[in-house]
Amino acid sequence: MISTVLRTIILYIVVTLAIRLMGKRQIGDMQPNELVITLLISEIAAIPLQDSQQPISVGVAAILVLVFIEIIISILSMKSFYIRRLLNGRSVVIIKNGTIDQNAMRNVRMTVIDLIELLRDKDVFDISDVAFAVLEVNGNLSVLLKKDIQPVTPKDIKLNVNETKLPLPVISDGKIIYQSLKSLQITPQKLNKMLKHHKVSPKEIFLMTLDRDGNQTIINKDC
Amino acid sequence: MKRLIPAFIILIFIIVLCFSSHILVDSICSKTLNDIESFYNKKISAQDIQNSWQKQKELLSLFVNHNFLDEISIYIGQLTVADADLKSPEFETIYKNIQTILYMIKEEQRFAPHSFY
Repeated sequence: MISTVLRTIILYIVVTLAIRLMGKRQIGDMQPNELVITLLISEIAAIPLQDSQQPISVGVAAILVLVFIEIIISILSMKSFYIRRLLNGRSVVIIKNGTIDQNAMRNVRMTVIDLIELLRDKDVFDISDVAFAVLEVNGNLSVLLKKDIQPVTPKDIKLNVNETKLPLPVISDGKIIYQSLKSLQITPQKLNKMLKHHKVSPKEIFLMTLDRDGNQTIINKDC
Repeated sequence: MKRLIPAFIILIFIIVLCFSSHILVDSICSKTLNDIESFYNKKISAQDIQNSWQKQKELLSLFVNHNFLDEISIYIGQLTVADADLKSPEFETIYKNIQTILYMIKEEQRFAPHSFY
């Protein structure tokens, strides 16, 4: 009995340290690879607890290997856009200007009921109110309402409204996302001109978003 | 790069754990088999083997399934019975059983392609 108590304390400390090393995230916010590693850690930690004949070092070693893999993968994901996309997938636009993209829904194996539930969760009860709905890699649905539906709308003050444009990240952590540029039909040269205008280089930018009208948001790196 | 430091420490720890467990298990298994052969050649008594095993068992229990260790302890305990007549088939059985379990322990630690499956 005492050994069970001691084993539990040791494994609790090891698992807590492991989760701490992997970084703070809620289960709902986890990327697919993070979720897999968290589930595996909890399963592995349970083995030496359930079976007292198993040496505790086997469980600890397996947990440490998983933490090592997670740290390396997270570093690689931060460095490479392609690795991030390979491991985590990418977000999918499900609704464009109130129209459901049925192909996209089929690709992510989402039913209409699922979509309606997720929209209701965002206080949206009419699909036609949605300008863009994006299914994020962690399974959350991000919803951008049409401008005339948003709380204080230009419609209320009788202003003409422009078509809602989806701002896309074009620079992330100093790296240009060429796929976004292609979607926005903007050439890298044009982007460079914009950056020159702001007197910054891509490496100095933490995040830059852009829409089809050229509206941009730039957040510089802290250091 | 700061995040690489814990990863590097973990990697070193895992490598040290793997190699040390492999070396430790290998040497203790070999020593136990040698002790039993010495016992057969009447160089040491069954009690000596038991004492030596009790010390090594503690170390092995860090890395090896405790069921294996308990089984070896039982067989080594039976050696005192066989002490009177080493040529008896009982000794042969005990020796073969211990040899088999030690081989299984070594196999568990050994890096081999079939371990993946």
